[in-house]
Amino acid sequence: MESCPISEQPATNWLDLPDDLMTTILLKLCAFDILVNVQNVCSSWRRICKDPFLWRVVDIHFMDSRVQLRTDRFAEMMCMQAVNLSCGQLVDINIEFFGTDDLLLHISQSSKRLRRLRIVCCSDISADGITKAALKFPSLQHLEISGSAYCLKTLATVGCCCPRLKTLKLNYNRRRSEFERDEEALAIAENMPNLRNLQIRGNLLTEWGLQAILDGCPHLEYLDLRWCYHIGFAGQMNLLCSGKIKSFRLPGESFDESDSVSETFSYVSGDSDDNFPDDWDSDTDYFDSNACPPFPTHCCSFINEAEEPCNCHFDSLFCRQVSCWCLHYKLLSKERVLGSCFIWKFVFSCLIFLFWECIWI
Amino acid sequence: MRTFQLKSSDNKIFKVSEEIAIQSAVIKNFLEDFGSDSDEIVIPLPNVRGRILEMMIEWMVKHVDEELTKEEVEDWENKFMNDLNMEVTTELVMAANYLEVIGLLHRTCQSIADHISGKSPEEIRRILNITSDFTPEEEAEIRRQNGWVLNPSTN
Repeated sequence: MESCPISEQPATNWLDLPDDLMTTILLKLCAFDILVNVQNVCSSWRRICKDPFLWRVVDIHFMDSRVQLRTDRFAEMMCMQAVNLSCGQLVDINIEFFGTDDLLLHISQSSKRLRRLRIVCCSDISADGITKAALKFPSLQHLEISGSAYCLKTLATVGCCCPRLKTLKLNYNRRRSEFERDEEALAIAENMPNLRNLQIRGNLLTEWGLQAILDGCPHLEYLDLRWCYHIGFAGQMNLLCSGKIKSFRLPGESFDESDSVSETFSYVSGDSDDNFPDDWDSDTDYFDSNACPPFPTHCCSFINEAEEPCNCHFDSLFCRQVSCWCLHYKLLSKERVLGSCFIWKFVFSCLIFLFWECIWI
Repeated sequence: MRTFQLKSSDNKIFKVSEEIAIQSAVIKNFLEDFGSDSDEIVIPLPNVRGRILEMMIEWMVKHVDEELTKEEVEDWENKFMNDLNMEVTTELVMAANYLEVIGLLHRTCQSIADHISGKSPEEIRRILNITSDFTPEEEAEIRRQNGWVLNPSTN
């Protein structure tokens, strides 16, 4: 075993700590602590704080009590400095309650390796800003835009320029009185065939949009449709009967603790680097297929959750009927297939009849 | 189950079983490379004081005890960490890093990070007994940077 003598004195000189050990300690501190305090302690710590490895994962939220005492401009400057220190090694960034289009553009220009982008409640970031940034994230695998602006062009650009995208979260707390709209669902279905996880809480899609997503994203494993109140009874039944999705959340399901706006992220481990930070997969259980049991068990837990008062009478009615569906869904789907066969036979017969009529005339 | 002897820098000897000792990746590799069937192997650890080695063994024993639940181990860890002062924590970090006891390393690093978190540079210097050794250029850079920390709108 190698041996490097150290003093027998119990007193430890902090500056003697090896750099890698100091980096392990600094990785457990937030960006604010490092940028404002730790790097101004002494020159050797300042040097370690400039290690790009330390800045591969950047998580800054304006609601952090220490940052909140200052301005959102301060949060943006801090984020800008963290991005600069990463020297293009940034793979994961979380921006909450601050930020502008300029910041996003700066990130997109300097961080080609970005894999995860999370934008939460950033009112100063426009849909256009996100669209322009998405052009320059070829490695993006996980995108979340919650409570922030996006448009159809954003979805088309993301689909086109981020071919490795596996997880998409678009959450928006829309009013139930808003009109139903399937354009976003269609844009997702059309542009993102490789999606594995989709969360579109509060979307205005209907059963048509849902069917388009099921058809357009054949690899989908997880689908969260909470607050999507325009998906009717038939749409939800269709989702249950299709059996394509391993795990899903239906519109009437309640929210659990991990569902707050600033929830810790859920990244699905795919083909990640070996030298990826340990805390990268901190919350994978949420999406783990083992943690989210497949159809029948999930429905049972869903019924338990539904015993809490539902927002919508229709949804509570739906909840009560799920147990019946669990028993009969195969039969129902058979009937559906039979029904559609009958209609096609009828249409085909009519066409043949018309065809013969034409020939006779 | 084989047992081994770990010898600290102040020549204290600790007998541990293989199951406990192999939580250290370094000891595990050592045994794989030089291990024999003899129970009398003495592994010298010249970088670790006896007191610190004793604490490390205490940690490792708790983490192979199958009778304890996860919660009980966590409670024990919290109590273990609360009883330590910064000097001992730092020595433990270095020993855990040297012997590659990953669980202890991360727990002690977290403890140090918690001590540093939320403190100003001056406070950190005072707590950890560090003197500022910035060059004039670095001082100027910090002053410039402190400009945006205190009043970012001017930049």
